[in-house]
Amino acid sequence: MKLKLKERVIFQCLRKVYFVMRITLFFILLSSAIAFSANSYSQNAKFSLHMGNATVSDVLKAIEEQSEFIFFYQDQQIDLNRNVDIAVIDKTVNEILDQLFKGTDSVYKIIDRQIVIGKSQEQLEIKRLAVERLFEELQQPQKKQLKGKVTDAKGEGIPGTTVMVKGTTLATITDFDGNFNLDVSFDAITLSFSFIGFKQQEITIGNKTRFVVVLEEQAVSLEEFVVVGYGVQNKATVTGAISSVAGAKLVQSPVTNLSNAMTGRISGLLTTQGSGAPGQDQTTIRIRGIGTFAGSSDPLIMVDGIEAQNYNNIDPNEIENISVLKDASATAVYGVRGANGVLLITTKRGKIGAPQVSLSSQFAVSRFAEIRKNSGSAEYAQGYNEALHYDSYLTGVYIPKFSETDIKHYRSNDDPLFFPNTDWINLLFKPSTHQTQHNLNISGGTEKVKYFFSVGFMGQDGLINDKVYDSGFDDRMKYDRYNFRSNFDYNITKRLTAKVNLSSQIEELQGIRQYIGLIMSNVFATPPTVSPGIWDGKLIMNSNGPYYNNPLPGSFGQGAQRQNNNQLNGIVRFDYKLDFLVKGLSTHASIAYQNYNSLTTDYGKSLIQYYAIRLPENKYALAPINSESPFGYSESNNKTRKQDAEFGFDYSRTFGNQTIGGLLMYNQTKLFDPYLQFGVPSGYQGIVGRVTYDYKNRYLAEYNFGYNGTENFAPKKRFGFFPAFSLGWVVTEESFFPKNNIISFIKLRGSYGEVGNDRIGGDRFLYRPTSYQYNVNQRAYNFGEVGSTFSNYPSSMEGKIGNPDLTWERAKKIDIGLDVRMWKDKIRLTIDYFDERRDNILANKGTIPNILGATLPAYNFGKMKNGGVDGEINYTDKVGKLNYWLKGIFTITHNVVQFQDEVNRPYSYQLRTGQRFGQEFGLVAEGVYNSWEEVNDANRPVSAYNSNKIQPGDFRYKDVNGDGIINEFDQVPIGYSAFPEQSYGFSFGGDFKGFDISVLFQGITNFSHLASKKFYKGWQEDGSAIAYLNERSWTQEKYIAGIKTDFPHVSASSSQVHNYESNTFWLEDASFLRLKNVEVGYTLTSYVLKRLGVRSVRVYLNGNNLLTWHNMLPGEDPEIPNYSDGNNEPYPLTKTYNGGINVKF
Amino acid sequence: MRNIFIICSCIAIYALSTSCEKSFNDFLEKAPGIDVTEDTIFSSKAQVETLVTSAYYWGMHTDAGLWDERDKSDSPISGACEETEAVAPWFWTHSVWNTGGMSPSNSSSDMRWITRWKAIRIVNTLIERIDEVPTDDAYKTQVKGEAKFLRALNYFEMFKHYGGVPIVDHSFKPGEDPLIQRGTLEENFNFLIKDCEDAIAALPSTYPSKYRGRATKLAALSLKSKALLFAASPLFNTGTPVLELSGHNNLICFGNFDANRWKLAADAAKVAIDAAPASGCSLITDKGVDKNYKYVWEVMDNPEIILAEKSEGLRSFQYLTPASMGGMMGNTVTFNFVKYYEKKNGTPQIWDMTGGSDLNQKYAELDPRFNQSIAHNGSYWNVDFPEIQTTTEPVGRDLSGCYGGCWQRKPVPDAYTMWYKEAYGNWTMFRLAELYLNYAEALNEFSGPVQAAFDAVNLIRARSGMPNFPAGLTKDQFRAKIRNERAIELAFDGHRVWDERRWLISDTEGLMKGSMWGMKIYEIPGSTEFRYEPYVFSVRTFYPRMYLHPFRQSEVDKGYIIQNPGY
Repeated sequence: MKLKLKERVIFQCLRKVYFVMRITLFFILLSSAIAFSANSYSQNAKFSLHMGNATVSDVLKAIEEQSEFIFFYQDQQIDLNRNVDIAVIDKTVNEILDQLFKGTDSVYKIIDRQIVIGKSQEQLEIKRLAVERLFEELQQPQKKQLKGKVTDAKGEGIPGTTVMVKGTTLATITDFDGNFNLDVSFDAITLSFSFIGFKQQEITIGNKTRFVVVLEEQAVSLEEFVVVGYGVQNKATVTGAISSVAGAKLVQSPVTNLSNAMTGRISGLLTTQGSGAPGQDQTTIRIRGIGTFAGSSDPLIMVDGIEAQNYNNIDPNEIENISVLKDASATAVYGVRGANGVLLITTKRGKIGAPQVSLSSQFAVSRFAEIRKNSGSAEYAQGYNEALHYDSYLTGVYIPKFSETDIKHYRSNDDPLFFPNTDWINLLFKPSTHQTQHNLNISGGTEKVKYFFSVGFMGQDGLINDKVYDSGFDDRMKYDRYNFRSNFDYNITKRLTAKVNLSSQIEELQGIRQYIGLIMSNVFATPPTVSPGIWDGKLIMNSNGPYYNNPLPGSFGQGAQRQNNNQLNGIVRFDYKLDFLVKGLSTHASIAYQNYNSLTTDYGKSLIQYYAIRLPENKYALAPINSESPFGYSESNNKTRKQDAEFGFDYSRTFGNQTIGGLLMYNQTKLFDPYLQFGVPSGYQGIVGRVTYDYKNRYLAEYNFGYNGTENFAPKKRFGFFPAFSLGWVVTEESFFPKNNIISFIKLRGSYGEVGNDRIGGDRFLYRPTSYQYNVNQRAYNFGEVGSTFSNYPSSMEGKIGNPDLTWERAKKIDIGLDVRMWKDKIRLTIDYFDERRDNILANKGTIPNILGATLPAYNFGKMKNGGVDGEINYTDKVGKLNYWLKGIFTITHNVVQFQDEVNRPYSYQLRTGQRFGQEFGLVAEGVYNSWEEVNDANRPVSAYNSNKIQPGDFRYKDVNGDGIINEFDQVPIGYSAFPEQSYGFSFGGDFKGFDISVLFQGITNFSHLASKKFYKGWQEDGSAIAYLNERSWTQEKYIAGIKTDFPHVSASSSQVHNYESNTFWLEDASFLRLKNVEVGYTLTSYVLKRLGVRSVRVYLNGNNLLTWHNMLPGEDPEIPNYSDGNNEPYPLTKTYNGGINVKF
Repeated sequence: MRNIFIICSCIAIYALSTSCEKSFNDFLEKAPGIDVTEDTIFSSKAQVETLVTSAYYWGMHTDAGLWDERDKSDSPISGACEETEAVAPWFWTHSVWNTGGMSPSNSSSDMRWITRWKAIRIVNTLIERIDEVPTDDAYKTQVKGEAKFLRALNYFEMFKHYGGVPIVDHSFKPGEDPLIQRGTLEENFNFLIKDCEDAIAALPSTYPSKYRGRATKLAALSLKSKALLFAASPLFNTGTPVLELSGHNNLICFGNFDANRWKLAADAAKVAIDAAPASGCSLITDKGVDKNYKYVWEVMDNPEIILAEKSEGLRSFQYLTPASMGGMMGNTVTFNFVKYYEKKNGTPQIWDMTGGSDLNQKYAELDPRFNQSIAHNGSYWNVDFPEIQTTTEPVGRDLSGCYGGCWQRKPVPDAYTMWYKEAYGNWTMFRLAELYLNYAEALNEFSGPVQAAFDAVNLIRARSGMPNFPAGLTKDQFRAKIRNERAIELAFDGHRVWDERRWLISDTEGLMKGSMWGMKIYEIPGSTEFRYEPYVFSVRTFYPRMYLHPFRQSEVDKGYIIQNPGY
């Protein structure tokens, strides 16, 4: 019975307090338990009961609920199911019990708060004596002093461990070093030690007075509670589909922003990182894939319950946990913003105990993970001529671009000023760069105040080699970030608690004034023949070829740009218990404020660039082609602020075997940003509700709803109601389920619900009629006479036409999940099947003709479905002193666009409807034509490309519709889409005598990537050529010699389109497997350190993006999106080697 | 107690959902802010002026090869025919025109398709609502005139691209079926001529200086002249189009040949010429015979300009500037085109196609307009590059990309230098000289080479120091000479490619089809002369279907457009 009491108290506390860190729960329990033993409970308390046709059990429970009385009885001794009618007003407990047991042989005895019920006087007396004795001991405890120390497996003291005399409420907690003192009565039998994250341990006291207890780590209990939308729930009884990752895991990745650290660690998450540029290398995240083809697919991101404008700049050291809410049940409370899933980021909070200081410092070296190699000048020039030779079949004439003499000079490199051979990649990129991260955090607390402080610094440098040329100003590419956080918890009165979170992120982003994508493109795409680069310390411009490509002026002759961002976030939350009104009820209110300032300063400056001019007798002159300009200065800033407020009621109460929880809350958000459309603030508003029900931890039910309004829709269409319900059944709690060691836990979950999405392309007030925008300078027009009256006149332009009928994009989601724990919880498995149907997708009509001349609004007509399976499996075990674990996660999704107002295409296989969103289309390449006989075959289909001027070495395409013409109607769905559908992660690790290791692999499949033209088409637009191009391209000679080639013949002309149409050959399988993260560490704890006040020192090495296996062209990174043949290229991803030290005081 | 909870909850829900319903809506209602409705635009003259400006912005286009923000087009149109070869390999003149790649799936075929419909919606809105503006009637009449002019201009552009297109004479209202089918060529023609006539009646002859660039009566007259000239030309003025569009030939031609269309064209040109003085418009004749021509294209807003596109003030001419002079490639003039320049005495220049050693002399003999339009070896570019070097041997500084042997110079102003990477640049849409040439051509076609036709063309030649057309030309001889005169006088102004199409001569060897000749230039040691050596640098493709543009496949798929033949 006593154990039962404890569980129940835990539960009630749980339900009452949201956003409470799991460890603090124990302190709450503890403090209430201590309070319990200190006071005496009055037997004179009066009760009112009105219970018709209730069982005895019900009545006893009702008394328990209304009072602090606890009943003790043995089930077989009294008839609990006997029906009684009780109607009493203001009676004492004696009077009620007398009435209840009138006419039965049951008797009772009240000892303070404990009421013992028995069958006969004799048995009752035995009980009474036992309980009285126990009670006396509690009243007079100082009889025997126990001392001891609680440590973990590494011998490190565990502060804050609860040490309790089993069967009593007598307890204490360990101090900073894990030591405890406890006075117990002599007949105390067993001590129990418990601490979150460790297995509870019981030790018989016997005659011992000194104890050294080693607690065993227990991974399961770490995740015992999960953060859900506006609350915390017990993992065992949660019914929504939620996966999570602990902050400790995120810190293992030496990455500079949070989203990159999540990759491969959480099931249900699909990620791609499209750039490695410092400060701009965040990962795109999709929860369970893509569910809409028109609206935004971005998940909602909440930090400590508040929607975050930016979360990537949070220091991972501040993070306790990230929860991913996946199904409708979990996200319904977010209503209109929940359709794409929700990411909940929870920051660390203080725990009761002495201050704990953690200082970590790390230093990393990073380099490009994958980078391409271009051909040298001689090879380039020769290949160019060869390409032109092939192109002459199209252009009619072969005129070599480079003469034999040119090529000779390039080859011998005897005239490097005029015949340069410049490896721009080598010249402009550093082989490696560095980044550092430091964090100091302090946490601790007393019963009244708990605190967590964190200060962090992160510095990351770019890979552009600023040493190449001294531009005279600081344009080093770098990203510096300072993070501050202080989280406070106050127990103000017994009923009132408060939380205050203050955090700030200060960022400084510095770089070249030129757009980084353009610089990258210039470095990668500039031919080696263009310029010798720096000559006599001067920037030498092109001696031949295009002016614009040379990366030098872009990199060093533009000036610098600096961006300073400053974000300040504050949250204040009050919770007030309303137990005096309704037991289990509490109310809370919170206000959050986010303030973001950004200042961009632009220092424009151009440096002198030179042409090399050849003079007679092999002399040369460097002639300046422009003058150096003084610094130009300009600045621009952006200031936004966001206010969130919420007010609500929380309810949690256990009635015997049943626990009921509830939440009803109002919230509103307003964002002020001068750059928003119309310049007016944007807002959200809504009511959130939840009811949870739990019967014996066995049958679980939950109902959630969000009732939200958004500014995007007309007044009558503005609010949407989004309900979801879920059910859970813990099979192993059933009495029929055999208790065994193989399967310890099975839970079946299911949910169904609706969530919404109102975001489409950044437009606002979608319902409003035609709005006009004024334009000055840009998109304006000039009248007047040049030189006198010429001036600019502002114009106005119609915006989108309004659509007053617009409403929500609605997602109906089903989730069926299974949680299993096996072999003493060594194996933990979660698997979820999900299916989502969206309708009313806000999309632009595809069949509206251009002659309309206006931009039409979105309409609610799109339909899409998305579904799949995700899951994770964990295995934890130990062999001797080796603790090890394995973890696998996977996410499999597939979506289909069901309706999108598509144009009537001539062939049904060309319809985008019915395909996955973003399905690639292209021609089916079936090798190349190898001879003129094949080309001139009368049955060869005519190519609509190249004016049918096909030659050997051109692609042979499949004539899908059989009309004898290869054209766009032969394009069929090929491959997948450019966003992955399937992802998996596999990690393992362990620790042994202070050593620890962890390894994370991440993989992606069902992912297609249209190769970027620069990887297979050289010399285009006079750009560079990739080194392997000549080797892989078809030539007649290679064909005759039987040498296998895979590219068509080379070409430099933009008229060659036949070979470069999107086709099955250029569409690559972008599946990959990455060795994402490896960490090796050693933790040092020694007496010497202890004497110095150091609890532990951990040194570690880790690395990120270490190895990648993929099927793409050398130098391509599967995650970097296709950039076609444009003037911008992404900054490649980097791999990072990192070493660090963590000291705990 | 459960009851109490339920009651409390109910009260809370009720309170929140009912009492807050109004305040909910208030919270999310759009606050007053930057918010301009169509009603605002038509509430005052100042407001509606912004929409008129917008109509000009979207409705006036340039083919100069200056970056056009409106439709992201950049290629100089001169590279589409034998005038030049655009050197930049990515310019769409290669992929659309030179290699016969014009196709429904190539949106570069007509990058203005969407832009023009935007303009038409704006002018339709202006026409429909201008009367609501509380202002003077004269202004309303003028705006209607400007709107109709711009509508006619854009319909004319589509007329010359496609033939008949859907006639959209009003702004679509929500719920209206926008799938309007193509009107016949004649309906389109009548629609745009009616707009021209309305505009002629409504527009003022002149504006105050600060409104220079707005459509005048003369601009509308010029547009009408040009439209009638195109309508009379063989491309449309026929019963048998180049390619049949079975059952729908009336979408792409008039369905008959009517000689009177030439008369209408001649009359319209004459009316416009006669109206020029009232608009303060006159030929530039007083700067010297070797300077008049350049003055016309270099000095903005000179009296010869009837209407110019002014969407940008200072412009970058980098697409028209060779790489060696700090630009982005430039256009190299073909030898085919250089050959059109007569000698100063009015006889054709004799070029030796196997080469010769008197290049400088040959150049010096040419029509003064050659020097004023084309930068060639030894000529002046600007202060930075006083001498152009395009020799093959030794390698000249400006040779890279200069297949033709010379560079297109017009319309890059001298002021556009390495130091000043921007200069004012208007794109001439109509100028008086064109009207004289329109008149001469149309008159010859209708009446034969009558004196008035000679007078018109001789006026243009004389101001550039060229002798009169020899007397006694036959109609065919006159036609050949007037066509050559148009090529020279209107060089690089965006006329040539369309003239060749309307004359149905594009698929003639050396025009838009076949060999493009260039010139290799060699220094002759010890001499100031240069040797030239013609060679073929490119062979172009032209298919008969390219006499008309294809509609975009994406539009055809919407089911309201009948595609032009051959696509």
